[in-house]
Amino acid sequence: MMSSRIFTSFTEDILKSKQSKRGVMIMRDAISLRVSSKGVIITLDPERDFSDIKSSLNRYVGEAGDFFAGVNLFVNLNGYNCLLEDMQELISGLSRFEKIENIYFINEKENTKYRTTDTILLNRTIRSGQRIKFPTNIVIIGDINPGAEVIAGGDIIVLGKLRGVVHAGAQGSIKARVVALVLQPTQLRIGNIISRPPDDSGLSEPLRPERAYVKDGAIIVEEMKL
Amino acid sequence: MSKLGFKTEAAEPSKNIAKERLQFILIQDRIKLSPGEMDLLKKELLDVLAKYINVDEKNIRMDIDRHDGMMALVANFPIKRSG
Amino acid sequence: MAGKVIVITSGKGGVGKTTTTANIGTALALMDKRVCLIDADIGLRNLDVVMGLENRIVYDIVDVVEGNCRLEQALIRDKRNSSLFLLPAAQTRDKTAVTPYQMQELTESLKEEMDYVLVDSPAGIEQGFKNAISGAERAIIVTTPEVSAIRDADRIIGLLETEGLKNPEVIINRIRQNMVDKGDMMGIDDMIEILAINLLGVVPEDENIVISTNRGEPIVLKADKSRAGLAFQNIARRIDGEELPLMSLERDTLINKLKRIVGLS
Repeated sequence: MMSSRIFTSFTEDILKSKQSKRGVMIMRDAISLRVSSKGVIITLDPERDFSDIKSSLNRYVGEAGDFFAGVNLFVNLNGYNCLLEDMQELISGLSRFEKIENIYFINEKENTKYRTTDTILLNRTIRSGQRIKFPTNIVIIGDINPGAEVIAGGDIIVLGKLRGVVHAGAQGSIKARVVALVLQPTQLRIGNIISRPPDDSGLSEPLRPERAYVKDGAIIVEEMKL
Repeated sequence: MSKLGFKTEAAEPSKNIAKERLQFILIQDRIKLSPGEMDLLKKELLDVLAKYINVDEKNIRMDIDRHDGMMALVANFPIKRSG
Repeated sequence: MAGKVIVITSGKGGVGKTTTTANIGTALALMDKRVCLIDADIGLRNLDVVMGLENRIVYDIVDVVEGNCRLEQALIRDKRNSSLFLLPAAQTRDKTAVTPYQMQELTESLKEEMDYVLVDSPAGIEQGFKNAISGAERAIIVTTPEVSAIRDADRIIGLLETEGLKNPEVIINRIRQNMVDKGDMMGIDDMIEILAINLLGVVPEDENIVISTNRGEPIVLKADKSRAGLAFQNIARRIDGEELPLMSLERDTLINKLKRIVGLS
């Protein structure tokens, strides 16, 4: 026997804007800026073409004005194979930051990026106030308590009770799925679709494995056949 | 019998105890004096007053009153009836 | 239209700030006022749960101050009352994620749209409390008839005065008339004498509060059936400027007292 529940789904424009702000747009940038106690660190994405890096950099320089006046600038090549002429172009681009103090080049590999096809295994219960975020699939052996938040680039599988907020396919993929032994989320998001259990749903929810996925723009929750 | 006796003995209602304790705690909180300093203050005041008048030491009261954002330390030194 | 920003605070935890905020807010909205509730307890949010709105949160107050979304996007409309809104706290951040200045900006822009902005303060006197009071022009202190709660309320009154929030008012929550009558609980007069501030209202202990919190439905929605609900409704009316005497269930009338003394009730 198979029964399915339909959660109240709503696609929020605001979530789309969240997507573009947090996911897609950041992915598209070939450089990233970070402020540390020593100064501003610009990290290059080693997998991008130099032209991409250069145009991203020019955009930042244009926007920054004299915002970085008096600070040291660290350029982290991040494993990027830099030709001498590329380096010279970088320097001339960077010196357009007004009143910048010094420019240093460093080459420190950032934490190896996770891919969406990777899977993170967490062997614990995620409690209220904790926030787990990986661009990968996430498998949790334990519960997700109310007030906890789990955000995955891919699927989320919970071998326990899912009662908090989960977001699968956080970079916008509506193909992501959420599976839990007990699926009673406060809120369930897949891609840019947000859903929540209907207001009248009591605590008498079934104790059985269920799976949530997107069908025709709505999140469907259905029992898993065992 | 003994039940009745117990009842009259415990005549001091616990709310009065609460109120007294609270008033004492708040004096310390409001003027930021420790109980030791408070005792010392009381004692020194008493010493000064005792030079001139006959104070009833057992019934000294010190309160902090608050009105319209102003605070005042109100010390009450009852005078012993002579004779 | 510039509304009023009111902070609801207590010092001590567990005296009923959040329940009070939810109920006063709901009661004001039922009086056709536009009301926004702000949960300033970042890291330990609860107002959403008491209001039954926890599953609608997409953005929170930290998202607003960090510019991840616009203020209107983070406001959650109450499911029962279209003129009531909630700005939820973030659960996965801490108090330092918002500064008093940002809070002030937030309440400034909210009060343009609202008649009342009620800020639910966290317990304690640290940054969360300082954030909560920073945009407020009026303060309500919630306390219970216990030595510890009143001591903390007194401390808060002092701190509010230092911060320029003069004349705070007090709500005495969870009073049990039968214990007061027996002399085992401080009465309203005792507490007001000690705190020396204006009394905004008295809320009796009521089991229905537990039930209404379980359901996520503020008790004022059933004010006709519960004493606490009626008390919160009266408090909301007083906040809105109505001169309303304390009712018999809030303060015993002389006749009732006499009746009890002669054993009629």
